[in-house]
Amino acid sequence: MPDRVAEPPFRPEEILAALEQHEVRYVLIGGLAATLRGSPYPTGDVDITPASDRGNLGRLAAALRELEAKLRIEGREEPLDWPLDERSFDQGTTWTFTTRCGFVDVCMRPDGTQGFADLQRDASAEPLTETLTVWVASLADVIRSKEAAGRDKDLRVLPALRLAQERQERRAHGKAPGRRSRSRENRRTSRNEDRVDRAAAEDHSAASA
Amino acid sequence: MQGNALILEARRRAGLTQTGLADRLGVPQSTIARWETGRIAPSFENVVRAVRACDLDLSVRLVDRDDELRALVDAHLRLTPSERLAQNSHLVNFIEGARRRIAAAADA
Repeated sequence: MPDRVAEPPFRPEEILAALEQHEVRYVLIGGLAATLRGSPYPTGDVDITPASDRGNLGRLAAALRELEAKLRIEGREEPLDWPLDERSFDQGTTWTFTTRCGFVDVCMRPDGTQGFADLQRDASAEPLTETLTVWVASLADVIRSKEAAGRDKDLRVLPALRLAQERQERRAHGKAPGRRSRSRENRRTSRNEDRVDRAAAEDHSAASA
Repeated sequence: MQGNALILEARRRAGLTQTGLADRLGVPQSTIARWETGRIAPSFENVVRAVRACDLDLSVRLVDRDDELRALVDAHLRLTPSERLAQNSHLVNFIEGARRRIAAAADA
C-alpha cells in the first residue's frame, strides 16, 4: 500500500496570527466562521476572503510564504510549489493551500456574495485569544454563502446554522431597543446598505482590473 | 427559519439594494427595511414574493424535529468563540490522529 501523506496538525490560531502579523485585511468565512458562530460541526481548514487591493494581496502572499503555503490541487496527491506575490491572485477567484499549520482557502468572491466589502458589512471582530482578534463573517452571511454553494457538505450543516440563527435572533429580540431607537437603527442600516453596495462594486472592479 | 432573515439573504444574494428590491415589488424602501430588521414580521406570502423578486425560489418541506441537534447547537452556543475554536482544533486533530492510527493498523 502506498504511504499516506500525513496532513499537518490543524493549528488555526497560528494561521490567523500570521495573517494578523502581516496586517492582512480579510473576513473569516466558511466552516471555521460557522463554528465560531455556533455550528457544532468541526472543520479542518481556514477560509478567508481578503480585500482585493494590491497592497493587501502582497501582505497576504507574505503571510502565506511564512506559513510555507503550497498550492493544493484536487486529484493531485502532492501539493505544488507556487510563487507567492501580490500578482499570484490575478488569475482565478479561489485558491486552496496546504501550510505547515493546516489548510487555508482564499476565496475572493464566495458563492452568493459580492466579496470582501459585502461580507465586512456585517462581520464583527471576535477576540479569539488574548492577542488575536479576527473579523468573522456574520452567521447570516455564512448561511447565504453555504445556501448558494449548495454542495452536500454545505447543505448538511445548514439546519444547525439556521437553528443557531433563530436562537441568536430570539435572544437579540429579548434585548431589542425601543421602537424609536429601532427606527433610527433602520435609517442607519439603509444608509449603510447603499454605502457598502458602492464599496462592494468598487472592490469587485479592483479585483477584475 | 425566519422571514426577515430569508428576505435579507435573498436580496444580498441577488446583489440588490433595498431600493432595488422595493422597486421590483412596488413597495417603499422603508417596507423592505422594516421586514429585514424584523420590526414588521413579513407574511409568508410576502416572503415568497420578495424571494421571487430576487430571481430565486423558496423551497419549504416538513421534517421531523431534531431535538438532538437543538441540544447540540444550544450547548455550542453556550461556549465563547475562543472556546469554540479550541474545541474545533481539538476535535479535528483527534479525528485526524485516529484516522492515521486506523490506517497504520490496517497496513500492519
